[in-house]
Amino acid sequence: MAESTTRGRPDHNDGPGGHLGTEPLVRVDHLRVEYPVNIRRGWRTTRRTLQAVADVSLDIAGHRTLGLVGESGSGKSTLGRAIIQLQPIASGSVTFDGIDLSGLSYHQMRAVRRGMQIVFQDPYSSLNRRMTVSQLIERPLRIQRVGSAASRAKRVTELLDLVGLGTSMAGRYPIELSGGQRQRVGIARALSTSPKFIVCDEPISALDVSIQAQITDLLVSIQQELGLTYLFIAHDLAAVRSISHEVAVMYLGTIVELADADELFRRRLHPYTKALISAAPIPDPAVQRSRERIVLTGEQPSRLDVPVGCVFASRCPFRRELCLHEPPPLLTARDGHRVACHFWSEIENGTHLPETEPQLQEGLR
Amino acid sequence: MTSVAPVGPGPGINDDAGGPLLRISDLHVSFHSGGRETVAALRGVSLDVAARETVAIVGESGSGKSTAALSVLGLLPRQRSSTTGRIVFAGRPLSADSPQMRKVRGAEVAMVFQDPMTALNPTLRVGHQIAMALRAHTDLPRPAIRRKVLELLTTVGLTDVANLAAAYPHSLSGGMSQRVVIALALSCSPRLLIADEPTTALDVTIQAQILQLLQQLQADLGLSILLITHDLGVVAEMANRVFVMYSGKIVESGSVGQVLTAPEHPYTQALLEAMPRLDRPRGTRAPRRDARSRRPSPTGCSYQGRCPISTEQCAIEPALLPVGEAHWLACWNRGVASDRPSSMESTDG
Repeated sequence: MAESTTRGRPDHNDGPGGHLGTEPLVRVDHLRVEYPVNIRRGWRTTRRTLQAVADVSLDIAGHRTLGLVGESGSGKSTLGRAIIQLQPIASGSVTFDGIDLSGLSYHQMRAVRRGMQIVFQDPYSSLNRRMTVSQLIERPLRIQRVGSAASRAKRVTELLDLVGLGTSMAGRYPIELSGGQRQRVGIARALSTSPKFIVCDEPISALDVSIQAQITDLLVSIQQELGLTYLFIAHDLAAVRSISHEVAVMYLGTIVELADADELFRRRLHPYTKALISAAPIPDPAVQRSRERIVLTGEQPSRLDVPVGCVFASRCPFRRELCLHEPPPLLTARDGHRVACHFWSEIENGTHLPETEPQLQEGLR
Repeated sequence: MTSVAPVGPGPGINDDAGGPLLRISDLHVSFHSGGRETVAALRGVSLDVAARETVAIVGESGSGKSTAALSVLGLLPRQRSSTTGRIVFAGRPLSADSPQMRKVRGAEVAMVFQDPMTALNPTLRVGHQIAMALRAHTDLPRPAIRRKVLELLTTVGLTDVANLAAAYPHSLSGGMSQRVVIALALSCSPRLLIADEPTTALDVTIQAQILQLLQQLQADLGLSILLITHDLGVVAEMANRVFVMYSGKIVESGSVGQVLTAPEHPYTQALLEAMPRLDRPRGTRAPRRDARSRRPSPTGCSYQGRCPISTEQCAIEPALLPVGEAHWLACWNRGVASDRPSSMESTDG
């Protein structure tokens, strides 16, 4: 397990300890997250609920990285925030390190929070610009009342070193830092309480490619050094594949496919995953211009009107009558590969063809 | 060692029959704020775009790629910037304050901006915004303008256009807004479309739709496209030729095939190596080479602080010189540049 010396345990500890072995570090069970929204039509305001995450179940094993991909509005960030209880959940449960988080009191939750942290997408807005780098990194430790001032200062120095920032950075303000340096501060802050689990919510999306590579490498080396577990949320498929052990694909609040990273990119089964991967351009004109591409028509529907059947039915080239009425469950297609599609096997062996042929663009080769 | 890099119009220019549609020669742009500090955003950029061609400018943030695009249309803030150099469009010189600019901008040269949500006026109906462009540049009667607006919205792949024309921008999704922005750009039948990161704000599946639309429009209308992007994947998909910018200068240019598959400049190589790729096995990305300095060097080759193969010679600025057929490079260590990185590549698969 992770070397988490300063990590505190909650006052009470119900359920099994959930230490090593088969028990996942994070278990999400039938999680549902809803947002209330007000819809104004003229003078009338109606209150509706928007379902951001619909019945998601997944496990994240210790020391592993689960990549979570999906387009904007798919609910991936909401899911990440709900797992670490930054977002109230409507139903379902999250178990972290053997502790069911739903029943915890404020103080119990606070203690558990040391074990789970988050790195935000935008390093410009996620750092308080009135605080110096060392204050920012020390902040979680002060909130958690960990150690003395001297030991916290020592920890800040350690963390700066760990994320590749010199101690000369300690007194600087965020405005003096570049995007990559800011994201390193964000990572150091997340690491300050020696967590076991970190939600990385699009940590590289706002950065230039060369900086993206540096931050990705940093996250991987820290994971190996400290034995961390990540939920890595991103929309960039190539980045997700490079860092993740397993990848989950989300669409409209639902996980449509979940598999080992290499397996998913080699033998994607869900039509949405296929379209998503084929839409990510490859920086080689010969490859890019000759590969098979699926250009989806239409856009992700509004989550206020979540379809009755399969969430992807409105854009799916393989759609059949059944898909419009019956939501497909996330079932195991083969070992370690789950997919939510009624026709995945027929699509794979070619007996189920798209209804609308022109959407599929065959390459020149 | 005493040779000074020759500066002049010429490098990177592709002289095809009939001359290019757009030619930028030795463009310098600097920004000054409060008089104290001057920032050189472009330092002698020359490029050209032929008719019906797609040319991409790639680079990271701060490389000057958007400044180059904005300067073509004279959209840089006049009080806070100074521009020198020549921009010739269809044989006529263009400058920010010339009376010609108002005729050309929005009509013969149109622009698609990065963020479709802020490119449209939120207080005006979509159709009205397109009609405004038509009224400014043509003398069509009202009913004809209305017909043309609906026709344009149909051209960019939108449906239910009558209702859409009456809608306000906030009710549209990102992909729909970008289609409207493209319709707006096409309203006066431009010959050149400048697209500044047209798909960066969009999801990948929507990006695929918009790129497909741009390609189709180019084929149908014979447009030239100057594409500004940071995404080499988009370049591979769209462009015929590519100019790689670093710190206000073009460091490499050539056909997309040459530059993306056999890059010669260490910066182009680093950009490509930094990208994880879906068509290659995991873990084959070359290990990153730690930069000694992240800031562009003020003198000499601006990449020398980050360059793994820099030598003393790099204290002198290298000129952009031809290294192959229509392939231009600004690097002293050409042979080394193509040998060394391959030996540094690891295949820890």
